[in-house]
Amino acid sequence: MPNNWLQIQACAVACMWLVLGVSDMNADPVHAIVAGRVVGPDGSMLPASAVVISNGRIEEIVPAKELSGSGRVRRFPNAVLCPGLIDVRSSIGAMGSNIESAKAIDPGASAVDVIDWSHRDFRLALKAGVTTAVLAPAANNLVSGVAVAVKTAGVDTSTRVIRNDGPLAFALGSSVFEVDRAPTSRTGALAMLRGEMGRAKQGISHSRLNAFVNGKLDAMIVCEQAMDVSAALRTLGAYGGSVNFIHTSDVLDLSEELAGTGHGIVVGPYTFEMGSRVLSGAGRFSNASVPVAFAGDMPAASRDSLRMTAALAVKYGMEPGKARLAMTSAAATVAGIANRVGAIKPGMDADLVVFSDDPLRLDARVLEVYVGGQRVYWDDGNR
Amino acid sequence: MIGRSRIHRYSFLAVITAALVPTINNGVVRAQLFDRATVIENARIISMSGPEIENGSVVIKGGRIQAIGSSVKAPMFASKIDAAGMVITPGFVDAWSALGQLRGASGSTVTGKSSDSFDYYAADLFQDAYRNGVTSVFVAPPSGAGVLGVGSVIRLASRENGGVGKVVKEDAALCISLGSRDRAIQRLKTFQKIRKQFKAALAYRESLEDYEEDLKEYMEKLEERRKAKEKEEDAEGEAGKTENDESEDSPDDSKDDDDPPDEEEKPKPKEDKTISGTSRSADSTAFFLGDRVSPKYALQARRFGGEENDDDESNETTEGDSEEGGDGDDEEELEKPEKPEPDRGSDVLLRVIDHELPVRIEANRSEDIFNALDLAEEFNFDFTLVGAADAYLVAERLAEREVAVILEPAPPTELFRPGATRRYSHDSPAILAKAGVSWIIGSGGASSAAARFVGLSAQRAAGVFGEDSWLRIITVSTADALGVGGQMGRLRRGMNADILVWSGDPSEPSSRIVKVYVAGKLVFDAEANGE
Amino acid sequence: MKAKAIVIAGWLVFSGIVMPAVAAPPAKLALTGARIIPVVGDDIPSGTILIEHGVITAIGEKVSVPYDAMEIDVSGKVLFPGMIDVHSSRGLDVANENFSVSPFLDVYDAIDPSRRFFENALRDGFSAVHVIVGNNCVIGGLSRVVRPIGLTPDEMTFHTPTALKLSVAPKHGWDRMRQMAELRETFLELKDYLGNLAEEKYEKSLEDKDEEIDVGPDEARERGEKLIRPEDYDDKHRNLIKLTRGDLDAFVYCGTASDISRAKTIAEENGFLKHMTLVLGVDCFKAVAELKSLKRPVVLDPQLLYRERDPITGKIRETFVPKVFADARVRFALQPMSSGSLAERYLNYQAARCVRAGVSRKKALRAITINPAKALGLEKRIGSLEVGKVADIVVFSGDPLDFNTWVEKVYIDGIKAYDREEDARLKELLGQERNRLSKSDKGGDENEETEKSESEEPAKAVGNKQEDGTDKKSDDSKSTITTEDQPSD
Repeated sequence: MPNNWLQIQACAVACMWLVLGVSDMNADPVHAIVAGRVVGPDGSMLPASAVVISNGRIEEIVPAKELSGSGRVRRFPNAVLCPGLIDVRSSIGAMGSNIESAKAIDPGASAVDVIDWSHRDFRLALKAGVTTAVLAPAANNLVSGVAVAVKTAGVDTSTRVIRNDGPLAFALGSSVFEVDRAPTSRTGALAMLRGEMGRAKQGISHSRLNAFVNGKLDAMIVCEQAMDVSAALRTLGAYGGSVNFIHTSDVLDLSEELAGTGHGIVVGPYTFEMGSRVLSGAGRFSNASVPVAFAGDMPAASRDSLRMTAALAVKYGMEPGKARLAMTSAAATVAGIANRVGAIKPGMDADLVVFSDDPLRLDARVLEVYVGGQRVYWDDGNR
Repeated sequence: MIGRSRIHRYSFLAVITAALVPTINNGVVRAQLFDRATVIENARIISMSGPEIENGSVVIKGGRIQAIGSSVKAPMFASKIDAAGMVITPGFVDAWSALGQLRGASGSTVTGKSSDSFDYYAADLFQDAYRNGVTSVFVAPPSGAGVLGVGSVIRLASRENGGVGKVVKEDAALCISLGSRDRAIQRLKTFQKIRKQFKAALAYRESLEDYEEDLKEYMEKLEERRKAKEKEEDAEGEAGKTENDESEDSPDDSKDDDDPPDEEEKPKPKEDKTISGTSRSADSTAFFLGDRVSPKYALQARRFGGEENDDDESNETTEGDSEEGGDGDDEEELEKPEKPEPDRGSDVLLRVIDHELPVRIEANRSEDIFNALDLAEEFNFDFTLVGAADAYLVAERLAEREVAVILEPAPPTELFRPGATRRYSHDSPAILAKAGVSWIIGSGGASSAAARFVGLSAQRAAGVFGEDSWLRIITVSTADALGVGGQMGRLRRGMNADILVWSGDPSEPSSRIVKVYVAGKLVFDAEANGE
Repeated sequence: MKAKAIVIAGWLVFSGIVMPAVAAPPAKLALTGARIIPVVGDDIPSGTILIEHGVITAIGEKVSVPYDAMEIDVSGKVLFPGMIDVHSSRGLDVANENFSVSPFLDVYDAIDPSRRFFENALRDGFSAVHVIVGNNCVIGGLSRVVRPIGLTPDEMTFHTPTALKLSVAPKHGWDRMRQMAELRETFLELKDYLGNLAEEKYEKSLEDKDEEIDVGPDEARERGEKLIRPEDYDDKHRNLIKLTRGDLDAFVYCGTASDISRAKTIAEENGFLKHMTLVLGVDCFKAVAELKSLKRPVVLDPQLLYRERDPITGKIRETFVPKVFADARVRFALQPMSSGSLAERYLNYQAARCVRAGVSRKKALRAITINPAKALGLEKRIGSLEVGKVADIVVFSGDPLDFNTWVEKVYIDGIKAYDREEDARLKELLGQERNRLSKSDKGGDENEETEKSESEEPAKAVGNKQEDGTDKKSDDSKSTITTEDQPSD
């Protein structure tokens, strides 16, 4: 036997412990994450707190000093813990073209059919702190189907789908007015829409449309121009279900119209190219108490487009707290998944991001990302 | 007696006052005398020139910072602004901007200046730029491929007769682009063209130097001839009129005697000796004989003489040059050397080679970056690399050669667009920093609208450094890199007052810029705008 | 028959424009009884203008008219100075050359007197047109001021050379960097040329004296400078040299507000700042303070309304450009619009728009008369009705700023060049209209007949006079024709 047999054994044990320990780090779920600041349910920052996790869900939030219980604790004294960001209008992971233009009204389609679960864009999104992506069929049909909300990381695909039955996706804009199929004009589109709504009211349309007019299914509608929003508000807003409008550019004139209706608006992504009129839209809506969520539009936009939108919106008048909500819980509300993700509250999925600073600061880095309580990304310095 | 002195005193005072009135009426003097100072007090000052001042004041007068510090005495009649809770920083400097650029078709104009396409009257754009903290920009020529022209540093200061934009440094850098968006074959051609232009500039300098030498020789010979003539005339005067006949020839004779046998051909003068007075008639042989021949024939004459002309080779590569400067003949018929035609494009490139004009090269792909390094090595100049999407891949080479980099903001899409560099990495700033490459960031030179947000781009890129280093990058580091560190980027006594007043810590997202002073004048006031 | 009729009809139309060449124009002419708006000085409610040999020799309420002067009673009309089109390339066959720097060109070679543009100019009340190349150049060429009447450019010319055209706004396909670099290069090359010329002159002078060169090139240049005479310049540089010496004016086009300081720089560096007129683009009003300090004549873009979208509210901001200038007390000249809306082609309509927007009537009228004359350097000869000035007079049927007013007559150099009564083309256009409108009252049936008779009328009239000598009624039109085919009745 070699002289240093004991040392070798010690080394071996240490190695095994390391290896297991490393893999254990992920296999062994985290008990709590303690951060210097935590983004609270209203968007403002809570002081040093510990978020206790169990079974992939958030169990409770306690002041950091009062943390008890056993299990692994990750501590980030100078960082900010934020709910995972939600990209409410995304095409991450969409394989090929999801443009289906045969029928203008196609409620049966579902975006879940085009997802490539191992697409590299999911990893890019994760690196940017986005844990949930909402994919809708392409906006070139009046009714294009239902959107699907998926997690950007996860053990298996069954756990990754948060919701696959809504919201119902509508669209109104020039991309809808196809040349070789009806409708071919805005008036035609609205007439068609109203007609279909009428039939749904009688219960003789597609089940999803029937559900929508009876207030049982939420909807979101992509509007190209401000007048499309107004028209959609008149045509769809009359029914009980919540409708969220996706529109970015001509927003200023709409804030009064939308205020008090309970419907929300999705703006973005904001880019450096946009004028101050467009960029001040989010702030104006927010100040008029219209719920605002941000669209990230990855990968057509850059991976940090959500945070860019938030930073620009704040620069042009949006309250920081509301901007944080727009990336998280407001977006969850638009997607109809606010009961699962988007806020750090007991009972929610433990989809969390550790930022080196306030996520509204563009120089804040993503340090770690957790989905379902499991650490799925960390910044290891390797580039 | 007393009355008299009083009268003297009063009249003395009257005279002095009368003399002063026109002086004071002079606008500049009046501005200085009656210009009210502005004091911003009780603010936290990040001056970038020394440690932070927790609670201090800045005094602005005459467009400059008259005083800055924690205990500063406000001058009389100063207008005071209470900035309690607010933060004061220097204005942002954009290292590579298209702000205010009037676009046309882009191209390469070596002698062009980017300040020529600056729109002084884009008022709305400048207000938005102030709102986002930008007070000075390096205006780059519109994008293109090749040697694009000279860029200037422009301060967004109000001009006397309206408009915004005062040039601080007209020739701040020559901008060269290796055409990142083009196909490979085009980029190759661009690079070869640039090399040719530099070579041509060197050849042009050579021809100028040759000309100078030839000119010197020529002048000397002229001087000799003049002296000889004088001597002759003196001798003549003494000798009397009998030598008149010879006198005409004597200049030639003396010339012949004096001149050593010439390397240059030029067969003739000997013959002239025998011919008196007719040597300069318009003979058919005159063009051989170098009788004050026109330059056009000088070349032929030389060829006839079989003189070897080394310069002929360089003639081929010289752009825009006329014939080579002739060798100064020291035949009796002096050949005036031909001055090379001016080549103002080469003049610009020569300033680069002589290290009088900084140069920046825009290259995004790594192969183009290598080409840029080769170019700099071949012609021996330092340059700043701009764009540099692939810089992180070649970071070591850049560090080795001590090349500074100006980064571009991240592309606005993750999708691959034709012509874009696919390999852009958000980690580039970190990798470069780690390798020891110094970098700053500009807004990209492509879009006037995006140029407003260079502060945000800096924040985005500087995340790797943490703290508030982005602020340092966008003020001091950029000003120094542009060579205008003494005029902007810092708050120091005596410097131009380009000041931002923030409602809170500049890094906090909720902070807004409340007031902007450029060259001491208030150009943006959020309150007045109703914001 | 018909062919002959058409030929004669054509002659009538053509001759309607050209002044009756039969009698020589009167050497002395007095226009009496009209309201006179001299533009410089007070209006005269009812007065007389005396013209002798093409020059105004007296204006006033009571003017003693010489016995041999022809008196023309224009009571009820308004006399106004002939208007001036201060910057137009429409009299040329092509607005610009391909050469970017072409100071050797002269519009003389390209003026086309038969262009409809000149005819319309006369009809619209212009007595002088400044024909100049367009804006798509760096340096364009020489311009001249012409009368809109005449058969050859020589006949038409009133003043030449007027100015050299330069443009600071870039040519098509260029950007401002290139444009300014080209401008600078042109003048640098000029300096080189002059230096070389001086050197050559000096050497030539020595050669002529059979002397050898005794000094180096620099000294030779200095000495040679004095020897240069105007005939030594080559065509390429001649006009540029005149420009830099102050012997030639410049019309510099500035497309946008920031071009003005660039124009000032080029002009200052090359010695023609005091001889420069600026032709402005629409948004140049933003630089009105700069223009005021320049103290040079200014010509506004024919587009008088500038629209911009407010970046915050999204609302359209409209600015009426001449008002900005009037408020800043900067004198300006107006241009008629060459295409588009019909009304803006009338210079008096442009002036009326100014008055509507709040510019004083006096300033508006000056902007179409004396100010363009100043811009052309011709304010001593044209631009107002004053004693000693050329008799370019427009007779309006009413106030020039009233849109119901017609141009009745135009006198150029005291000679009647246009008379609406004899404007056959106008009559052709309006005559048919008027007839159609009045006949539509009578009902539909007769329309066909009467329309036919309308077009046949000239021929018929002539035919009648020539053949039968008797008048035929319009009802008989058909029978007249048949009569011609058959033996007379």
